[in-house]
Amino acid sequence: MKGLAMLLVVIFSLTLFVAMFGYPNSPDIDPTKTKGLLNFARNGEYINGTETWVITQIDPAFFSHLSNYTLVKLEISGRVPLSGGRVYINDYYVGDANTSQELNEWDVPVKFCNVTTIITVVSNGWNIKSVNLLFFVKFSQVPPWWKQNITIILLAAIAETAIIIILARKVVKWIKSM
Amino acid sequence: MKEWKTKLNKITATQILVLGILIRIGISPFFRHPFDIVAWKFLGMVSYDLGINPFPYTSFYGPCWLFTLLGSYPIYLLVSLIRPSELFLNLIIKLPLIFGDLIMAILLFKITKSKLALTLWFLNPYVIWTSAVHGIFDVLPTLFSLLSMYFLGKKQYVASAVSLAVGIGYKVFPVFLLPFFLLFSMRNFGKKISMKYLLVVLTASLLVFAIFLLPQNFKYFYEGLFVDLPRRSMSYVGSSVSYIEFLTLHLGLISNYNFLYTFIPLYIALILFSCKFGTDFDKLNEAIIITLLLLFVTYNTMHPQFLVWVIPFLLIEYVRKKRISFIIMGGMWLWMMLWIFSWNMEMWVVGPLQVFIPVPTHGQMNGLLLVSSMNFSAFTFACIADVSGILRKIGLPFSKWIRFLVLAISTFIMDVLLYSFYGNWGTIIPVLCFAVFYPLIIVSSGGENS
Repeated sequence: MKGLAMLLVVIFSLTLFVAMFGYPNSPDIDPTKTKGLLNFARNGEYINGTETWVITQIDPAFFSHLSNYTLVKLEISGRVPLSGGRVYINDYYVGDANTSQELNEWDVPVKFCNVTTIITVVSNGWNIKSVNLLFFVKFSQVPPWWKQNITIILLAAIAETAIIIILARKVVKWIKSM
Repeated sequence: MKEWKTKLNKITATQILVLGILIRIGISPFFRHPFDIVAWKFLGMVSYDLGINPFPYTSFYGPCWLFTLLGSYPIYLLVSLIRPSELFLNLIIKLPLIFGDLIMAILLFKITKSKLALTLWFLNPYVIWTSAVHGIFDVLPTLFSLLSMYFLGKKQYVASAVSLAVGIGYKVFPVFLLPFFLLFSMRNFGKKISMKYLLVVLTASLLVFAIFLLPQNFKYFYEGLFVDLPRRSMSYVGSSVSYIEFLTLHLGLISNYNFLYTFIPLYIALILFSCKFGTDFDKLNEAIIITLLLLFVTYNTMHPQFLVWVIPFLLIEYVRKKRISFIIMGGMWLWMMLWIFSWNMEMWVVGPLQVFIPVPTHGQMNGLLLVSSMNFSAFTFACIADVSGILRKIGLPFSKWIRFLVLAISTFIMDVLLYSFYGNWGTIIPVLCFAVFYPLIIVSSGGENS
């Protein structure tokens, strides 16, 4: 009886293994389509002169190992006056507002931004509704961080296996005492 | 029934556990929740592929699930060096949940010494569905809540307090159990121990949530609790009490926390009641059940997996006091199965039968959800009444038939009213189901086992 049970468990495991690894299966997150990792949104104001928005605690990874794969977009919505408006990020000039558009968007070079990013708008009469700073990452092009730190991952896996073995021994003891 | 019990006696607890594990491992790779598992995978990718902070995407829950998830993920990564497999990832993400189910089963056996309780938990299709099919982690906070109660019963109050804090680190609901644990320790171990218990819970919770106190994470924690959560899930309502809140939605007064207006007064009443009567382990268990059921009937959104929170405590109640009849347990199971399998509520609840059912329009969905949630909450109220014996304590001269008539007719009228306002012919299905199951549930309360 015990032998038969063992045989069944072995067949079960093999079938499961083949089912999991024997057939191709496509991932349902398409990394190339994953966009907008972070969105820092701020409420707008009526500008008569100069106004600033400070965004803090932006993940430093965007400016270090992800800097080549990160796209930054600035979106400002609100009616622009005929006199227009100018936009700066950390004192870098980003662009002028288009007076015919309610939503103005700019692609911002990553080097303009930092962990603390200050958005400055100069205008006379720009009634800004919202300011959004968006961070996109080109997933498919990023060399996986974990592959460059495989030792850490290996250690993590070993540590986890050790914890599981310790817990499993405890659980087996519990089961035996039942 | 006797024959069934004799047959069950011949099967050992170990055999039940092995069978339960094999079922779970066998089905885990091939199913997943259409949204949640993808979100867990996204967290893994963000952390391990991009090497960026995952907290902006998970601040909504405590950090423990993220820790669990990121702990499992490296095994998937290492295997993916040889051959990546999404099916293997499904299994890896669900392994901690399967382990949680297993420990819960053993714990239930230790508390109740009942193979029946163990079987009703570990071979319960609903529990298997939640952990091994959908891959939702509600079993883990529930496990730590039960562990906390178990340790408290064993007078190991530090272990109990730490377990409760870890449970809170997974989901917030165990925090509502804290007053009862404090009352229990005060009654049984004295005020000093009770104060120590509170101190350990607070310290352990602080440690568990410490990572959220880092400046780069705190704002996400704050936004999760005070911006995202209040706004979430306002498209549907989970209970009849919340129906009042639903009406206020049009006045722009509602947030996801509005349930507190109804929950807190009832909860305070329960605490006061427990202060007077809550002395032993069974009363503590009863208070936990009532608290969780109160949450179900008052909270704006009732996700099917929430029911996992209360099942172990109901099983303990049944085995120790024989107060919840089999029909109630069966009714609860059937009801949830109907709910899960019958309707496609966009991405939230998806059953295998969804492909055969057309996606309802927004109006139809509201109708379906309101009617089904009305029935569900009426049923939950019946459970509360049964568990706490409230109906008996009021002292009304009722027989089980009067109870049946009053509750069934009033809920049926509410259903019809809701149907006339919001419904369509699709809503007749839950009404009919209700007509079949509700009498069974009500008649069963007050029976031999009540």
